[in-house]
Amino acid sequence: MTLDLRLGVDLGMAETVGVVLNAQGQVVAKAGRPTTTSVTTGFEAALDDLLEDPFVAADHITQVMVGTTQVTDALVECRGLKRVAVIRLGAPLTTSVPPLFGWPHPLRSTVLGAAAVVRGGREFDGRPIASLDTDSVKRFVTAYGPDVDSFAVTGVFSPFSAEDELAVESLIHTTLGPVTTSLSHRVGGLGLIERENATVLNAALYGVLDGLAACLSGSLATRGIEAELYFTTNTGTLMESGSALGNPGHTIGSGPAAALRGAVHLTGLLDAFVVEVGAKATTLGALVNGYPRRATQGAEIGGVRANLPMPDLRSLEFGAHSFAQSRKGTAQSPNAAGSDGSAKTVAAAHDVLTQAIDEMKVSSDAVPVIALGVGGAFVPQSLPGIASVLHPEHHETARAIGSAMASVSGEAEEIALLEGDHRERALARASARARTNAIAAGGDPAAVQIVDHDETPLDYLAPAVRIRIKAIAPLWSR
Amino acid sequence: MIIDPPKLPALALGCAVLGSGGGSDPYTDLLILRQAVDRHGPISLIDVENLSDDAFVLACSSIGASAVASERVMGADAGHRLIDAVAAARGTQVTCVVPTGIGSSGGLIPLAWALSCGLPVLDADCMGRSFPSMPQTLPNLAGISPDPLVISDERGPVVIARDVDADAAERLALGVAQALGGAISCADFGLTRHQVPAATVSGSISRALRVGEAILAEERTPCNALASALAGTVLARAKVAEVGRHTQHDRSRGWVHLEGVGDDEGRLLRLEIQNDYLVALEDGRVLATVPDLISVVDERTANPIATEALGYGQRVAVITSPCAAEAWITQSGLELVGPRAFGYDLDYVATGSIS
Repeated sequence: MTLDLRLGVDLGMAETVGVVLNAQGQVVAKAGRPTTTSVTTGFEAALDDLLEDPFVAADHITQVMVGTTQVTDALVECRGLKRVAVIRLGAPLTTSVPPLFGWPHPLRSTVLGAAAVVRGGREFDGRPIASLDTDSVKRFVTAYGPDVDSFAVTGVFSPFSAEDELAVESLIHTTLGPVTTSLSHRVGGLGLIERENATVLNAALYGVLDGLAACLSGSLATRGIEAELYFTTNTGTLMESGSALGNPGHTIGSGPAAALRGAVHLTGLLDAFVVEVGAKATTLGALVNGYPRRATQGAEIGGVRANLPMPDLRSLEFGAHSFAQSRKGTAQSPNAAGSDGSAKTVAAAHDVLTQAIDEMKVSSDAVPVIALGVGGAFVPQSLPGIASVLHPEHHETARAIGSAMASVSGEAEEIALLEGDHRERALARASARARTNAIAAGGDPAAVQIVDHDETPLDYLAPAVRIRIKAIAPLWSR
Repeated sequence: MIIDPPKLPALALGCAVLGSGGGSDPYTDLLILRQAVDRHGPISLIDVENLSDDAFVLACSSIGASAVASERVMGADAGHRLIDAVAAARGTQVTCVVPTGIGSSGGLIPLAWALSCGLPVLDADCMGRSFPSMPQTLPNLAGISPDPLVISDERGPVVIARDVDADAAERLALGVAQALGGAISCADFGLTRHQVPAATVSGSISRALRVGEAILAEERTPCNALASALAGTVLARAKVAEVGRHTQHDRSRGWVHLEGVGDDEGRLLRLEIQNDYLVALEDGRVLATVPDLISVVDERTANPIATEALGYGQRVAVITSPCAAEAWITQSGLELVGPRAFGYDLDYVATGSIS
């Protein structure tokens, strides 16, 4: 029997929550402390609480998984961002919308060092749009490289054919040495402008997590914890600290994603709705096959539309404050914004929740609901269209537990014409790439699974489909 | 009339409504048009009455799957290349541009092309909404052929097809689109001043703008505001109960079941959908059919919902409004764009004729 322990931490806006799980995934210890301005102080306080538990030995903790809002905060506050040189590969196409067009002003001027659209990129079937203009890339890199902190490179259809982006990365490294470079095919899927935006945000956010990772590693080391550090992503899976520093954008939206994963762990349900009732607001999400359902619309982050893989969430404008305890402290009674305490407020919140769940369902079948958060207990057992409501033990630590669940993912996309064996070949290619990506993210090669396979027909492109594959794997313990 | 940057979001929204569920989120198309306006100045719209006698109006469109077009974003000189190629093929300068179909990106991209060539835009379109194919256009109904069909691509190729009718042009355009990477610029029809009245619906662009402005005005009842801007009626407020889809002959076909909510509780509606919303039924009665406009919008915001974005549980309002072109409500018009043209064994029913 292994004594390995995993530490999951949620560095939330208000509270820092830590849990220690054993190899069987059982909760061994949990702790919560107020989040502090320096983050580390709150983290260390929670950590010390956990280490006081007789069943938690520092030298048995082998993996530490952290969920943080630091990246989101940096973006919203326009703080600590890098200056980025933006290279797009796609001319003579794509020039109708220049890079960073439409970005809000303080963010654009902070982030944009220089931009160029050069010849290159691919068609959906992998043919070059134009052969990569390496001379222009070299000139641009030489001219602007010294004045910027990082590069963002986006090629047309790079999610299918990444060769041009990789060639540009090696040109940058040959010319300037190891400068940080964000390649769009590692950041997002189809939709050039949204993917480019996400890639530039990613390049601008390089370094935001470096300080945090160093501080957390320091705190762990002084307590005798020699563990691999991971960050939670917005798909509910993990990134190694190293790759998280290269893909900071993927931590945006990781909190709710971790809560959804935590709900899976706490209940064993793979398909359910998860309601996180906070003090003042409530977040609703959907689990499909054990993972957060992904939003189909591009997310808007800091006023920029970016196709980062955000979970499909609904924010509801009621929270635990809408339900105050009655005189006897047993039944629920409302107290919204100094209302007279009529049952109307509670009924209204129930209606909002019922309708929101109904709108997020994919069919009329009744669904199970998992209630989390400080107000989770207020979600009643019987609402229309809801099969059952679960209030799992340890629900207040769901985000930290979700982080500690320790799986990684890989995704891939293809477009295939429906003729001959094109579809089968594209399917095989996409599956292989998704597996490779999951393994590259730290997954156990022996346990990679394809968990999601989606095909959408494309109109006006005589019979063709867009194929999306997602693979997951448990972390490979070294 | 001038369309300046602040009006562009309303225009895009109005075009999405007039797309009747076809097309997807025109995010990239709106950026393309915004950039063109930033670079070349506002769009000047002219009315049919103000066309000179020697005017030569080009009806054009971009063709391609939206998933491809949003990745393979067009080049800044796409319009220039197309319009220059038309001038060379016809030996006539283009003096004005008109969108072939006002719906969705169809109402936005030709405006960007006109701006890049310094040309005005005729306040009209050739469908009164959008239909999926080139034969379903008023010029074709009026006996005007797309000859010569001109297709171009920013990378270089220009394809010119002579002696083609609208059916052949449609098949050619799709084949060329696929061969060239899935998204192309297409010169559909060239119109002289005297052909314009029969070949276009006057006022389509300003109508799209009014429709979008009605949604953005944040009225207390945005769906009613939208219906009144369309001169239509709110057929029902409902919840999407079930969506069915299948692909047949390269086109997605499907249906949606709607359950009435609020005052419409107890009603059951069915919409037949392909790229667009085509037929509305209730209890076996036909409430509305193509070519009248059937719009499905978010019940709270009146934002249009594309057929591909339909999903269980959405709270929607169904709004029907009369077809913008009387020419479609004739025997030969209905043969092209009536319910039977889309494979439904139904007669056209005028919106509002059943109460």
